[in-house]
Amino acid sequence: MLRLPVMAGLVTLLARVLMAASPIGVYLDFDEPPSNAAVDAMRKEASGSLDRVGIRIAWRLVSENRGNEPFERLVVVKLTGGCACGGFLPRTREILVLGTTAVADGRVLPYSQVRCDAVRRLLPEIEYASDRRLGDAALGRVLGRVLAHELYHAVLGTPHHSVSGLAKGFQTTDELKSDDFSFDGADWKLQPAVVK
Amino acid sequence: MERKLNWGLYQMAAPLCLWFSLPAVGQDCRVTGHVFDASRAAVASAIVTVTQVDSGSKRQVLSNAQGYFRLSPLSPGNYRIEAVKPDFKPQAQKFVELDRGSAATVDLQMEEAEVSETVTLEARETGAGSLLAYICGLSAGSGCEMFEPVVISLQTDSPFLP
Repeated sequence: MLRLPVMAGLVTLLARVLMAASPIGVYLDFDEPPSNAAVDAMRKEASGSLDRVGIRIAWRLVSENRGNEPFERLVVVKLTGGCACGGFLPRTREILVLGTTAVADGRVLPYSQVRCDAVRRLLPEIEYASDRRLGDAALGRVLGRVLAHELYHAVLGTPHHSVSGLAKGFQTTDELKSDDFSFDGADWKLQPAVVK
Repeated sequence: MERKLNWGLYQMAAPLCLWFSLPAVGQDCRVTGHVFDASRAAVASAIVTVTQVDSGSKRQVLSNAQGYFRLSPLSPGNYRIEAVKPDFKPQAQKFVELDRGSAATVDLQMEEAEVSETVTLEARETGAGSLLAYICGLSAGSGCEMFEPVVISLQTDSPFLP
């Protein structure tokens, strides 16, 4: 007789456990149709970096948003420029903004931007890769690291940086391209801060 | 013996399951709404946060291309609803009270902000084979002045050097 309520309860319990680890909804908004290989690599890299600090991501597209999917936390990421290797963007010695996160009234907002063109200009060996698919995958991995860095700001609500790992205050192209470059777990123990 | 054990497990599990199930009961309320600016134009991709005032629990949803959003299911209670988006002031908020099975519709008018700020990740390459990469501080313009730039020599055997 008690089987039904017990089963119902167990299902609810399972749902609650899953909800306790509910993912952060990250909505991607592309300027131009991206390379699938680059997007796959970007998502994989960013998911892997955040998974190591216990944060799961549910990827969504702004273009498919119907305004009715709830999340505990949301971040919107605009990807500007062409997110695919084109073989035509020259390298530059100018300062390049790779990514930004918005701030209003001293409060970090969950709106970030990743500049695909800037990353491509910074890494000509990827932009001019002879194998376009491999180049796109390599580009995606770097984009994933820039994105993960911006998510660090957007999710924690902090403009501050750590002294090591993906959240530190400077990064080299070698780090951005290396086999393993991610967050130090301690970075994510910071509490959301209000910028003074 | 086995039947006794099963029965005992049921007896222990039932209250526990019922206790966990209780919060899900009565989550039949919803909030719908529209986000727009001073000219009544739709504000797409605004993050709408619905906060239950008593518990502090939050749910977020992204307004669609027409500025509309819908959040459900919600428990009865008092809620604060606010929307944020860069280039708009984040103080647009409304309060609604939801009874069991009720639905509320809210209009959120957002006011454009005068100054937009960002925290940025920047990098550049210098002419001497070294890389200057740094993250700028918070600023209203191109303010990278809050952080010292760091010059790092690239390895000469790097396969990525030109």
